[in-house]
Amino acid sequence: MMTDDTATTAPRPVIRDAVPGQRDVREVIRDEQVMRRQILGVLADGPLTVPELAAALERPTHEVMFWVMGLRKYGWLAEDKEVNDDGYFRYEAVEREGS
Amino acid sequence: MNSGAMERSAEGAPLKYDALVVGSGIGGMESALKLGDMGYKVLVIEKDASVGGKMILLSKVFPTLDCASCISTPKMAATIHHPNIDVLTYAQVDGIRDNGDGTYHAKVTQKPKFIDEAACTGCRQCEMACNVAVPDEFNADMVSRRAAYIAFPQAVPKKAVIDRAGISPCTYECPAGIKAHGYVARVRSGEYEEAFGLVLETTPLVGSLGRACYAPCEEQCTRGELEGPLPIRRLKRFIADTHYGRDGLTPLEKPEQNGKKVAVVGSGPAGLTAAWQLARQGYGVKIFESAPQAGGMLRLGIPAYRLPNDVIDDDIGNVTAIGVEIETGKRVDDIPALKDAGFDAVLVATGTHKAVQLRVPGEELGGIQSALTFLADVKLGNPVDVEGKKVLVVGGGNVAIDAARSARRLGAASVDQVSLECCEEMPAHDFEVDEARAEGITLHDGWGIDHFEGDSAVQHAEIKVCTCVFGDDGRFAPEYDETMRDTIDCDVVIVAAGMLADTEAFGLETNPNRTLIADDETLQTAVPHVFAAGDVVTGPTMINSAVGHGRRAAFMIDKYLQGQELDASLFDEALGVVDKNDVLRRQDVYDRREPLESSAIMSASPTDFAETEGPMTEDEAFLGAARCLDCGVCSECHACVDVCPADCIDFSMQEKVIEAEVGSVVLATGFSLFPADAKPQYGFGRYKNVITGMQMDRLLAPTRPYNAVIRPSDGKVPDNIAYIMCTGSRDDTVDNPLCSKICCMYSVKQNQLIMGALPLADVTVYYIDVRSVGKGYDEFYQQARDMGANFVKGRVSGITETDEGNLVLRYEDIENGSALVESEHDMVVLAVGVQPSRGVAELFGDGDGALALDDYYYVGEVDEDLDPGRTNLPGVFVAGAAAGAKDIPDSILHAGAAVAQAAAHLERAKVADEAKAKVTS
Ligand SMILES: Cc1cc2nc3c(=O)[nH]c(=O)nc-3n(C[C@H](O)[C@H](O)[C@H](O)COP(=O)(O)OP(=O)(O)OC[C@H]3O[C@@H](n4cnc5c(N)ncnc54)[C@H](O)[C@@H]3O)c2cc1C
Ligand code: SF4
Ligand code: SF4
Ligand code: SF4
Repeated sequence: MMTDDTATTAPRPVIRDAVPGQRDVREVIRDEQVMRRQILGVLADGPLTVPELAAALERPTHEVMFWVMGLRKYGWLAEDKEVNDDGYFRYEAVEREGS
Repeated sequence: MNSGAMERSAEGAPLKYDALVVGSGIGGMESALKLGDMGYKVLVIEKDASVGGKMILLSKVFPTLDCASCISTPKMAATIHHPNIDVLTYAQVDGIRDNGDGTYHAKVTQKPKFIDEAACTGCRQCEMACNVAVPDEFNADMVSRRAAYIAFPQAVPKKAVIDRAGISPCTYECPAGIKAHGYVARVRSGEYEEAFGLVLETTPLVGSLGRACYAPCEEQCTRGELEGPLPIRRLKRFIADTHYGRDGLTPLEKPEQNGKKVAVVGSGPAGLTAAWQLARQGYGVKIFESAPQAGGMLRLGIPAYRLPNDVIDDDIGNVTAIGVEIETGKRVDDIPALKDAGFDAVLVATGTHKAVQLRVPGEELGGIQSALTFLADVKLGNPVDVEGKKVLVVGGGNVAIDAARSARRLGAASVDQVSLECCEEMPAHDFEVDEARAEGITLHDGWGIDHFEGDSAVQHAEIKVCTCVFGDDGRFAPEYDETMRDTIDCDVVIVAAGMLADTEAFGLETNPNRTLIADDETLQTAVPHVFAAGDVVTGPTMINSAVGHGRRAAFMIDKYLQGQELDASLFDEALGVVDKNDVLRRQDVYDRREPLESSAIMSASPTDFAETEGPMTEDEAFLGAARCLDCGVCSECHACVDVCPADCIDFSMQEKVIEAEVGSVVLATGFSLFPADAKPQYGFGRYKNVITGMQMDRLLAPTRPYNAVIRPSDGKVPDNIAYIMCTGSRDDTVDNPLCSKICCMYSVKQNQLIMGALPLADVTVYYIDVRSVGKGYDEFYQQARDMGANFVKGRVSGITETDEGNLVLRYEDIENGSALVESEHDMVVLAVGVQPSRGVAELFGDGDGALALDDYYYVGEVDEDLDPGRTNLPGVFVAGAAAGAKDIPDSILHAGAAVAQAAAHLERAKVADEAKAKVTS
């Protein structure tokens, strides 16, 4: 359906050593399961924005976006209603449905 | 299939329909509904898990700003529930063949969803529990989905699908049948107990395998093609250590008894695994073991520095906890007679415990013993006398290495090892040979024993060079250079020349090498109630193979005792192994992640039997598991199975091939979007805040991937968004001179929606000219301008990114003298155009029946203006964007034209048939 939207035209060789900040989306998303524990650990002290969370985890903000949005989709996190003065939402750990 | 429209046909005969509709976007649904309403029987094939195509994923539609899902979902539901329409989702058309009379024969493959659709309630519990995250194609890869998933919230049918690309190589390779990928995925999610439970589904020997398995899974691990395999075995040890080390373990539940009894002879990995599996199914199981302690070779062969006794105890504790009785020190000889003792079936799993002799002069001298006896004595704590002695070990396999390293630990003055094979060809694993050498064992590889000498006890061995170990036929037939000789002084000789099954007394048929004869698949012997498994059938192998055999035997014994056919095909998974190259090709780039270093602590003169390999820390386990590539996508971790309230997950489902005879074909395969990275100057994929129009539509949709319209780079609400029109359209540099027709209007739509959602945001549109042809379209465009969207006539030549993730656009300002100007935005939307869907023509093959495409590779219409929808093939029509870029109203209109053509074709055929019938009558 939409896979072609983000598809690349190039053949897919295996290149080693990703350029920092340019990890393959699939790889970043795969890490969501691993990062969950760390993210929930950091958020145990209170809600944070994506850049704040990225700083705490020492990971790039765009990667943290994938994880936060994935965890939000699957009920681990929720956002504050309002954005802060800098234009960011804060995300907090929530009780999962059925847990 | 959803409804009863299909004309039932005799077993195996093709199904019959008036029309086959390929694709279920708005064009396909509209075609199917109209044909269905006219009374035609329609088969719709959709490759995705839901009907709806692209439209259901849009936010709102231009120019009415109606909610896309509000107007799509009724059509989706109507399609799937229409009495004249059958819909197959997650299916693909493999080929369409012309029958020569205006009708067609279609071959369709229904991919397995691994879910009983009738039972699935769409509750998403499986998805919530799933341990594998992959990009969500229904959200333009902006967020994850799971291997178990429901395509999107409004999916029709709203049923889960399990995404399985094949069995992961690690799991496929495991002779025991352990879901290796599954437990790796569980560890990665921090679910250690569940990981332990998953291994228990196969075998109780979690700790033993975690230490002493030779891990063929690791040899096949796809990550091995990159930096090195995952530590799959050590992860199993980690989950076993974690489980057994926990305080207050919940005792395993004893299953309800079914009244039948099975005797298992032998308590090695095969016997223990079979006993475990049978007891879990309610059989009363008793194991008879001739040795003083249970465990087979785990207990009697493998030295404690590799496999400590308490780990074996823990593993066997699982088996006894569920009620299996083990009688040790009890040798059984007459196997068939166990029936008289009240057992309904018997499993022989006695292994190979008889030592092969060297048959050389002097072998009867004192001080010469078999490695099996030596190792068993050491492990059982019986006295062995090697301290201060010169020990010679004979053999080149793992058993010889174990004996040599054990002798070293018991204080032998020296340990020499003689092996017929040279080092590279020794049957022992390379790492074991290396470890033995590191521990000070002197290896004489490529030598054989000529004879031993001594008075009553051995004093030295004469050895000679071995020139060849196996004959041309591959059989063991060593040849020597009798002139090249040497002597080795020794007080103790330990012979590890091979092992044989000890089966003479059993009263069962045996092979010349004394292994038992049992059916390869069912493991049943000639005596129907007697089965045999493990090394006693195969000859010496490894723990994992014996476990696999034990599990198979239990499966077959259960079938036998239930009076069912022993069907081996039900035991094995139907799915094939995933191709490693396909796995690797899923990513362009792999971030280097070094494998974990071995934790073996080697000493040049070890003095005790402490484990050489250390445990894994939780962090190491986590990092180790994090390297997994999720080769098969679904890991078979069974988390979904554990939670599904409807009990509808079925991993044994297989793909089905369906044949259909159809009176006409409507191709409604839609379009695909221009791949934005084909314009590298715009930085899509590199600059995180450069997104496509489809991604923005997803961000604006109610079922969006984020909580709001925010930047993918950092979650900031954007306040200055740019649009670059005609990305990939009207552009000869990417070979597409065509206007895509929809990008101007969807951008205008998004401009309005953004200004509604983010009242403070500025929107600037860089365009060449805005094409707003259609009823109300120009007014819609003017409305966006009036709301404040800034339209700049300018061609953007390139984008660079600032440290904050903002984007600096360089463009030619056409209305101001074509000066080159720069402007900064915090988000850029590429209004990507459309391309033809690939693969439609291939459905018809080449040659006479080939489907003609137009100059731009869309499905060709013989006369677009006067005869829309008709292709070059009689009876084959095209509907919607498969024929060229179209928006929703045009797709619907075009589908109407295609339907009218198809109906006319069907009616013409009917009239011709009736006329023919009249003539013949
Ligand atoms: C970002 C964006 C925004 C848009 N906004 C609007 C809007 O506001 N208003 C508007 O009118 N239009 C809009 N459009 C255009 C609209 O999406 C299309 O006009 C419409 O989806 C075309 O419908 P279709 O059925 O022809 O094709 P599609 O929607 O592409 O559906 C084709 C279906 O066929 C399936 N398929 C393909 N090949 C096979 C095969 N071999 N076997 C089985 N199944 C197959 C596909 O998976 C898909 O489900 C927008 C498009 C985009 C990209
Ligand atoms: S078995 Fe595990 S990985 Fe596979 S779909 Fe179920 S939960 Fe997901
Ligand atoms: S990468 Fe993961 S799934 Fe693939 S073979 Fe290795 S452990 Fe198994
Ligand atoms: S948990 Fe079971 S019933 Fe619920 S969606 Fe998944 S498969 Fe269907």
